[in-house]
Amino acid sequence: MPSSTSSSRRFTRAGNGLAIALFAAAFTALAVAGETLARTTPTLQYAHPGPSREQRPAGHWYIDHGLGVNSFSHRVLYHGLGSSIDNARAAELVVLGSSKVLCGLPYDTLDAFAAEHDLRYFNLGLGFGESNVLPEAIIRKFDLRPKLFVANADWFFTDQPSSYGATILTDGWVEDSRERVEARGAFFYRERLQSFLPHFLPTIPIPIRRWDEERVSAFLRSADTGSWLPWNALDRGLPVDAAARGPALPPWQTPIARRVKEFLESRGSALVLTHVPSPFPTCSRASARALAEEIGVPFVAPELEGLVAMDDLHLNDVGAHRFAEAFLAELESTPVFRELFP
Amino acid sequence: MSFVSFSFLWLLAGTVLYRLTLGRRKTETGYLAVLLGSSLLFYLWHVPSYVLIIISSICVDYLAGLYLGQPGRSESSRRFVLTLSLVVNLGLLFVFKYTNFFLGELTSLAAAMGMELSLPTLHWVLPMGISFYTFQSMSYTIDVYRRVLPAYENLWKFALFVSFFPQLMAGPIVRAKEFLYQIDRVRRVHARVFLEGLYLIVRGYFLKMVVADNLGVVLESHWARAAEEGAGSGLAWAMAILFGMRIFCDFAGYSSVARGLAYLFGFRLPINFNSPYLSATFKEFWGRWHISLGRWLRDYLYISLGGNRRGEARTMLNLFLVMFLGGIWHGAAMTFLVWGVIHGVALGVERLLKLHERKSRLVSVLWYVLTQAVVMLAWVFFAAADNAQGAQIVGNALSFQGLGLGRLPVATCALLILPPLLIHVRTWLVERELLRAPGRYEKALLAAVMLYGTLTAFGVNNAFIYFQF
Repeated sequence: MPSSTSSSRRFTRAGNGLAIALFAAAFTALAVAGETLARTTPTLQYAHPGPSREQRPAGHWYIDHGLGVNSFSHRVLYHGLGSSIDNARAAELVVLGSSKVLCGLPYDTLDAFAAEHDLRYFNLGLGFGESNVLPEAIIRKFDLRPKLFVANADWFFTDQPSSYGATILTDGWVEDSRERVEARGAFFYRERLQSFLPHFLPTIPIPIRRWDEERVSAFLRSADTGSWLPWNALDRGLPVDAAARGPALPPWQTPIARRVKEFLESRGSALVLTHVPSPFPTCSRASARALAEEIGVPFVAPELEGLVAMDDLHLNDVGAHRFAEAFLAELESTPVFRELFP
Repeated sequence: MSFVSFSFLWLLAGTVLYRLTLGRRKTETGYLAVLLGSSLLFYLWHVPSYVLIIISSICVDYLAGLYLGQPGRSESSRRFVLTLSLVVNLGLLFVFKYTNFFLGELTSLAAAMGMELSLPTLHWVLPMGISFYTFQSMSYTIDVYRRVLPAYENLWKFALFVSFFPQLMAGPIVRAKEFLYQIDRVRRVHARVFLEGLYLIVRGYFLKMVVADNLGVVLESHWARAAEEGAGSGLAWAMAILFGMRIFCDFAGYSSVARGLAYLFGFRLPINFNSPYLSATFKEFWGRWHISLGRWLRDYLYISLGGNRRGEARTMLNLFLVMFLGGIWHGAAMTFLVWGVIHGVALGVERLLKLHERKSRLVSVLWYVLTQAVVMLAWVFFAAADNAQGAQIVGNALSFQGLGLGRLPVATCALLILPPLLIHVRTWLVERELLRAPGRYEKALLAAVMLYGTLTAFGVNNAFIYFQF
């Protein structure tokens, strides 16, 4: 005969099972309702931050910015994680600069250009307004020797890494592992779970810009070409001054630029400078051109009317495509490009 | 390591796996070693070298405990060893937490006196949770000194007590006598306890990631405007109340996760929050808010200073001193000091007017309103960049002129503070036996809603406010 204790245990066990079933049923019902709502309500279209695997272009992409991850590519490139650095090493054209070149030179325009000229490229731009220090360290560490470097002259030659760049240069294995785990977790979460778990809050009509900016957008980065894929980034539609007037680059950057140029030339690479426009330029195009002339390298920076930026610093999708097409058209007509890529 | 991180989920998954598979009684060395190893990994994940600080604290208090626990030691030598232990613990706390504060204040003082003093600023990260685990470790040594606790001879188990990762970063500050006996207790896995742990974890994450983090975004966007001269009184009050709710959800959320994790591993941690905004008096507030700190300050500071045994004047001085030091404990800034002073003065006034004792219904209600108003306004200093900013917001609030809410998303704020309000209402009803505490089916439904809410409405800031302490 079963004792009262075992009977009460059975009762408890059944109760626990029922509680778990109740939890699972309620959660599933919420998930189905939420997903249906997100898919059928036009104003909730941004509730799926994406991009999902189906929405992404072909190739290997990883999360660089967003969902608790901040410029993971600093670490990917400096520590040689994954296939990125092998692809950078194999590239014949490498782009240097800050997030302005990552936003200003979209992957599809560069891909088409590379296919047309049968060349491989890699965008080695780094967010946080990174300067020459970390890219130089990467070039030296992984022995990058492309035929041509294109650098955005906008406060690039400073010899001062960003605070984040300095951290990357000094981090030990624990910090490195921590960031890797976080970045991979964030990517997994965004790619798998958020395909059926929307993120609702950004869609609540709250007049706070940051909610939109920080919750919805994600920046993926290609391990194949180093290009960025801004996703759902808020577009503030700011006009860009075609003449790119702004403060002049300080003269102390000239010797640094000259030294970097010599460093790149010693590796058998040529250097071309550019200037990616923005609504609030941190340096004028004229001073960037003057810097190129002073160190004796070509300057390629088309002057375009009517460009539009998504925020204070970065071109929006349309602006970036227009700029990139004009820039590449001008680049391919330069003697240095024709000589290197006949 | 933060609870809100993917690294933590991995650590948790691994440790729970061991919990479910390693040993039968869960008192085996292997299981305890996994808990200790996870705890140290949890700590060194922040700044690896800082694990040496917590190890120093463990070793010093373990050795001090052994010495103090031995019979036949003279009182003077015991006092010396206790002092040594306190000096090491408080020294670590002072060096890492307060050095820059005092150097800065010294420089300002010298400047005010017309002298030029150039003192260096030390650039180091505050070791996470140092204020919590040093207090926890010190409580053990003091208890052994007072002979209310025997010395603990197993170093590894003592190390687990100090470094137990669920409460390592921000409490509850657990006493040795509440925890050490649990290490040797058989703790088989019970589904009900395990589920209760999961419920507390989900509840904690919801309060933190949905309510506190989203309120944080609203506060960041409107705080500076509330500190402008002539800003509306309504906005100032809104900022004070929203921050009060945010810090409650942030800290109570952490404590809930900590207690839930402890349940998963077969330990019980004390409750740290009990609907503090129901408090009708300041004395009651400190029995409901950060309960483990309140108890620590009472038992190891207030009573050591003489408590209420040396007359009214001395009692009030003691209350003031305890809250003053409690304020400093929170952070090396004048704003925390002001916050502590406000509470110290309020406790003293309350005692002087005997408002902490039984009183008429009308006086009770009035004192409740005043207590909560002062608590909320005191939070302004806790959150302010400096005292000038805090004073401006409080001044605006007390000017009672205009709403000035501007673009404050009132409906969203109301939605966000609904969960903490419901928690308080529920407690109020339960305490008056008008409603029962939630049963397991209600908890299952609540957990489903909160988990779904957490996954679909999480905010952006993932650092717990109390991690900085």
